[in-house]
Amino acid sequence: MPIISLKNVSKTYKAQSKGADRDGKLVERVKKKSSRLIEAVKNLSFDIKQGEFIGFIGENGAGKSTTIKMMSGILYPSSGEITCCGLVPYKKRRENAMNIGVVFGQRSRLVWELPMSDTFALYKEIYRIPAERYERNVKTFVELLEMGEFFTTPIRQLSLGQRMRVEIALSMLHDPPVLFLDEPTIGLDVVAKKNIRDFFRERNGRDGTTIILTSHDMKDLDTTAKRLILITKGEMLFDGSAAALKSRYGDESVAEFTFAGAPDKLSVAFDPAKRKLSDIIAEAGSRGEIENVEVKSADIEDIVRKIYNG
Amino acid sequence: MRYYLHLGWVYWKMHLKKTWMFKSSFIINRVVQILNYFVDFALIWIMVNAFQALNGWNTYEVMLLYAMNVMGYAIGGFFLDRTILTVRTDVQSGAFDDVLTKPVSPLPYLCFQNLNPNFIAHVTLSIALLCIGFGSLGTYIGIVEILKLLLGFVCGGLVYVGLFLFAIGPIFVFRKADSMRRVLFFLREQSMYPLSVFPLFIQILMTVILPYAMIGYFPVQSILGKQDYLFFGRAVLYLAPVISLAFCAIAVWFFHFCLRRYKSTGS
Ligand SMILES: Nc1ncnc2c1ncn2[C@@H]1O[C@H](COP(=O)(O)OP(=O)(O)OP(=O)(O)O)[C@@H](O)[C@H]1O
Ligand SMILES: [Mg+2]
Repeated sequence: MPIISLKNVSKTYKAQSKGADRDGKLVERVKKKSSRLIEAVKNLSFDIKQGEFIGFIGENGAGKSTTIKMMSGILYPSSGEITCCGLVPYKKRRENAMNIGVVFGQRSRLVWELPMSDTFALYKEIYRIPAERYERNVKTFVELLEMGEFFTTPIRQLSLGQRMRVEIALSMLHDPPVLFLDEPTIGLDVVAKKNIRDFFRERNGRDGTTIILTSHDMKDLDTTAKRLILITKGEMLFDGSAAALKSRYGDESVAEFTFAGAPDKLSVAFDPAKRKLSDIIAEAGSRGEIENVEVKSADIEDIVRKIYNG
Repeated sequence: MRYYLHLGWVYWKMHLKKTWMFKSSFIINRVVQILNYFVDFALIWIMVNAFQALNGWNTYEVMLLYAMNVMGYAIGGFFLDRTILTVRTDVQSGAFDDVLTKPVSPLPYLCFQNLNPNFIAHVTLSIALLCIGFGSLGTYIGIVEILKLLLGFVCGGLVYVGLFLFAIGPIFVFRKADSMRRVLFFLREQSMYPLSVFPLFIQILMTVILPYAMIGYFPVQSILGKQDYLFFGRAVLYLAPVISLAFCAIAVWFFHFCLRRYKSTGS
């Protein structure tokens, strides 16, 4: 029994034309012609099992956020059906909300003027979290996300990375079995990203929290997500492990040679399954004295770049 | 309901904490607000005195209409005045998504999140005006009259809540709706005049379609025992609560109808 299931889900937005607030017949006529329909998500189907860690990827405008909004009950799909923990999220919004935690990296829900403890206390009431569990969770998250030193600072004075940690803790206060994370690492430095990544991995491993994470930083996903779902222009392109993605879209390594006395480098791309590295080095050695060789195996980022570029 | 009341309390404490630093501006705002009402009322007063009487309604009687209007507005505004602003900002920024991922019913949640107890000033003003009005007219006020008055408050509150909801709905669909709000709240000023001064079609409009007449005219008429029942006859006095409730119920339905069409924003 999957914890989340999408069946032929589509979402079409009616684009609001710019001239909508002017009137007059001409504008009216132009408006009719140009009122476009944007098919943000097309016929998307997949199942997610409890405890999975999904990396949800796709180019800008691919429809990731739209899909997450439908899975979390914010938007109605135009067609198709979604269930999350046995409920249809947009029909049973209130019940569904107890099962999910949501973070939109580009938005904040925190009370700007007050310290995080006030927003936490508010969420305790909204989610009716029993006092004991609340205390325990706050303590755990403050520790794990290292928020102790700014616990009483007004949110307004926190850095982006600090604020994001508060957002993440906030979405998990009520122990939801499912987490939707839409670009939770946007704008963070490498260290902050890594800490947050480790935190998610720890949560996923320890309580089996199902996590659906979108990010444009493939490193976020390389080391965390066991399964990647890749969509492009609203349609499913790939669904499987990172290894499967590599073997399907070419697992290309690059060997870069520097020769003594020559300013230019030589790059040789090759598929390690088909050619041995020693052959390539031998071949390069015949061209001159090798000073240095660097071998890079393809990471998901290279592959995804290749896919986005068509 | 207790849940939402409790949330309302938590949000209100938070609001106070936030505005604590701006205490002086808070007080200035209240003073300006009350002055505003007196200016409003002074204008009506001058007009009424200039004409002596509006269809048999003297100055103090018109003052009662005004007082009822203030009370209805206070009830609606208490729940929805800040709500309308919050909804507009949040829908435009996309932050409204957040309400939909919380385990709450949006309408009561929004009302109690944005309670505006400043409207207690209006309640005080309204009661003061009612005392002056009835006092000067020498109207007998017994239990029955008080009950009628309270029922009048409820009707006025329901109509105003409905008006606010009709103004909020379109925001979900069009992301802005100032025009709707302006129309509804321009018409509201007309409910400060006795209904019988208007042409027939407006009387009907203001009784059954946009029932502004429930706010002040019918309650006051009933207490004063006025006889200008108009087109509808005496029955309308008994229908007033039903009409107000129906209007509010339709507005609630409209709110949810629009909410279903909320489209969020791109990121
Ligand atoms: N509220 C909306 N109204 C109209 N069109 C929208 C809305 N939200 C998104 N879109 C459009 O739908 C498409 C998918 O957008 P979406 O935000 O889901 O993409 P995304 O994959 O999250 O992109 P990004 O990586 O840039 O966040 C885009 O073409 C976008 O312009
Ligand atoms: Mg997005």
